[in-house]
Amino acid sequence: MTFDALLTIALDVAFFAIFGFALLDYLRHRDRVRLVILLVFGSLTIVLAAAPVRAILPALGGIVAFLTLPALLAEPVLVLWLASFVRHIPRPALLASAAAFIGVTGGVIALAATNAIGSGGAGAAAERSPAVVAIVLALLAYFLVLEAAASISFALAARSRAGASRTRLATAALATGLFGAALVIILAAGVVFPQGSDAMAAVNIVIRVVALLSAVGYLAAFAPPRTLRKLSQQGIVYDFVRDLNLLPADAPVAQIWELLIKAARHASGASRVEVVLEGDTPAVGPDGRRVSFPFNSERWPEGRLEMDLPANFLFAEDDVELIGLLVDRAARSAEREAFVSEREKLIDELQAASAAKSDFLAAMSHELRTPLNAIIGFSELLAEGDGEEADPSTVRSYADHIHGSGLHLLELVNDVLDLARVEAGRLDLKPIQFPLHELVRQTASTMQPLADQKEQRLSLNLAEVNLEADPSRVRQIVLNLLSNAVKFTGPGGEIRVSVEQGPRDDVVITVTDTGHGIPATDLERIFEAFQQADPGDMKTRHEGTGLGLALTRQLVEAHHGRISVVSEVGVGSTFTVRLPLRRPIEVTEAPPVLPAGQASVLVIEDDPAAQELLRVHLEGAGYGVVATASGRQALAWLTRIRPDAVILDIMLPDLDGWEILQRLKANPATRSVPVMVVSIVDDRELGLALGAIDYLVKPVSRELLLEAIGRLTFTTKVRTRTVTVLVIDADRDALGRYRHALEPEGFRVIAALDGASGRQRAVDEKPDLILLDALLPDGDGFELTAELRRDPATATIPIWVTAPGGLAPDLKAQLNGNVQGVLVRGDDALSSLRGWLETGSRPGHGPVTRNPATA
Amino acid sequence: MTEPLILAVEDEPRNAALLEAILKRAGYRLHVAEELDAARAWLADGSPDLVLLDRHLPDGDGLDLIPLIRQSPRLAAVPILLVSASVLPQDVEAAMAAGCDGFLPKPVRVKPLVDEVRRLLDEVDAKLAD
Repeated sequence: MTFDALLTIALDVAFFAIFGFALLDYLRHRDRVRLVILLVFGSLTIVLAAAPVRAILPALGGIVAFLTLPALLAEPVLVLWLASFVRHIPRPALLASAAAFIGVTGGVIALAATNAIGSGGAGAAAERSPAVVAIVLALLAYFLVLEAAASISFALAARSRAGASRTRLATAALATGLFGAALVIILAAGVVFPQGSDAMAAVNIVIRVVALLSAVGYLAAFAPPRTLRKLSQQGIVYDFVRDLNLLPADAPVAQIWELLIKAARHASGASRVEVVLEGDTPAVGPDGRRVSFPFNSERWPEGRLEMDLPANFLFAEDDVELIGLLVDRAARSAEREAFVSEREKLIDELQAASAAKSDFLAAMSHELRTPLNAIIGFSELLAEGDGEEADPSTVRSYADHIHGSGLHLLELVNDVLDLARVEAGRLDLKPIQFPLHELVRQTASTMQPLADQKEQRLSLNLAEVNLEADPSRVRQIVLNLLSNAVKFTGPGGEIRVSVEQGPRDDVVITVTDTGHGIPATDLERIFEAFQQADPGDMKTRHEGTGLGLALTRQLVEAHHGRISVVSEVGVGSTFTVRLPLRRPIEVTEAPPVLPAGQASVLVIEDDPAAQELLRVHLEGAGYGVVATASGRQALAWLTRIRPDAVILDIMLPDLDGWEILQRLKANPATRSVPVMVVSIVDDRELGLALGAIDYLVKPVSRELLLEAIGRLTFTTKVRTRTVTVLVIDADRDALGRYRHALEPEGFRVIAALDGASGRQRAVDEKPDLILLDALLPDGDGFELTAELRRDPATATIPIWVTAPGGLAPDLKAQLNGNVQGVLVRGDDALSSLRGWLETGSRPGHGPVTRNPATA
Repeated sequence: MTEPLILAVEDEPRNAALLEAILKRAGYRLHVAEELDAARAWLADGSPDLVLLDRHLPDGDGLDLIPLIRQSPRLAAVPILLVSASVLPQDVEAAMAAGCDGFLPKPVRVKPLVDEVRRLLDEVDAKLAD
């Protein structure tokens, strides 16, 4: 035996061993990826086995030779199939590769049959007829294109991933490229070198080496041995732990999550990896799967690491184990980190609270001593009561001072209590509607004498504004600001108070003085209840107005308002209070229960009167109505309940209607709920563009509303199930015509021959539409219409009245608002009815005709 | 000889009235300034025998007035008595460090106030006699 032969045998044995490994691996796991790998190896094994088998078992030589060619040609198709597992390859491309395989195989076999060429395209060198050259070129192209496509797919997939899977896919790309190159070389060599030459023998060796290398590459890529996996996993764990240890002691928890995400991305190569601490996450796309690793942490009970893995991902059980390990480690570290930082924060807070308490006591001592000074001093003078003090007017004035100081003291104590109440969240606001300008005028008038005393000009500029708030608290706010202004403004100064409507459904109260002003450094602090950093620092404390401003701010904020101040030393100060015109609506979690057995409408409307009117109209027509003034509330409810329709106002206090509409239409869960805008804002195009199904501009009449909403709830049903039409007509021929026209279109037609049974059927069957003959044997259609409208069970069913020759205007008027339309019998009538049923709108009538395809 | 003249810097009207009632009865004349600015203006040509000072004033800290008094040759020797509701030890220390001659905490009692005023005025007289 020559060295070449020995080498060939050694290489073949090595390759068979790898094939055996792949076979065992497949038998152990039995998944699709491993099956395809096995097939790839199998095809090459057959090719390589051909020579030894022929040598050892000449009897099988024929079968082997017969299998060699298709096996070799199948290889690129199988590799492309393998590539489709890691990166999307269009189905037509896969089918085309299979077709090319059949074509090329067929071509070679046909050529071999006619030219009696031996096995394999390489033999073509013997006889270079045009057909042989053509088939060799075709084979070249076949291998080149398919191997290149597969190799590029692997390379692109590798690029989009990270860590080990990136390396693995890159290896696969390389293996495929190598193998493709080898095939091309062997074909080219077959053409160039004569069969049996030394060069050809060398090529054979090279081919075997390359096949072996690429086989090892595939195996490493798709079925890496455990040791290889462990090696890469250990690298990931090592990096992760090292990075974790390198984090500074006070690193925010978010940094730990970042490290976890990085490590998990490396370990899995997933397209999306994120840490979710609470709440749901959007559903995963159609071609992926979501894997979730919970933290198992009490601190983050919902916390988890989530990753989206593309389908058929190269993900093994030990990878899952590894990521579980990383998640566990990260969660424990984060828990400790959070615990430490929270403890530190707590200590800081306790220290600050303790300092604040000291400050508060010092300031309280000061505040209480001021009125006590007058009370004790004057009472002492009275008690000593000699000479001058006997004068009644002096006694009276001393008593007044004592009384006034006592009241001041009481005020202080009340402020302290209020402040404590607000801070404990127990301030009871009793909001009512009241004219704010009146309240401010009255409050200012109580301050007038004091201002007069200091010869200050007090001017008011009050717009008429009705406010919904607690008037006693608003008075307290205004009084505090005003008394501060008077106190801190010198004689002859000016104080201006204004009330105006703000830009965002709020009211703006400003109190401007020409007083001493507040240094910029103190502006932040003046609203705090003696929270100054240094209790001994008079310069910062003397601006303190006791508890007044602290309490004022708390009261403003309790009304969901804001207070701010602009000041310049020596020029004056302006305090600005903004309060929402209306009490903000509390968003409650629990949605209302939708009435059963009725079509339901959710009304989103903040004007109580308009809301009530809509409710009356809708409930009168048999709809179940739930209503809210808040967009946020509505959005919260709509995640839990599914009304048949939504009526939406545009100008809302919290979210505007446009935004609500967009959010509803952007959310797959709420997208299908039809929304009708009813607003004074006349922007129909925007509304429809954002997905509203209809748009009515206020004021809306009852008839218009009911017609529009009837159409809306009706069209909702059309899309989801079979539509039933009840025909109430004494004329059996007419009945037949309706059946003939409607049933082929998928509508279900039921019939009643008189009014009484028609009404019964309407109640029993709840049809989606009633076709009613204006002239019935037992009474006319008008009466029946009215009855159907009165009965809640049938009130919302759209009714069409059919009449032989149209209706007189007065009869039409009688039906107005109760029926959807009038059909004049005839062929046109049927087609227009069909059109209406299909589109859900009434052709040529009413304020709205629109195509549901855009709805 | 006319009664000694006292400048009381006090913004709270009732407390100013109290000082006035106590000190007038004790035989002193009183001028009240409700703000620092007013006090400075008055001191431009006013010559008090003693200054009663409050700290929390609308336009600043009463202690800010002390340098003005101490740096004026005409007023430098005028005793300054702080009457304040800020009674913490560090407040008192700050007052003394700023150059006050005496401190009385609010609420003031009649007798200690009169005694302290008299003591401070007597001290000045004694110094003058030396």
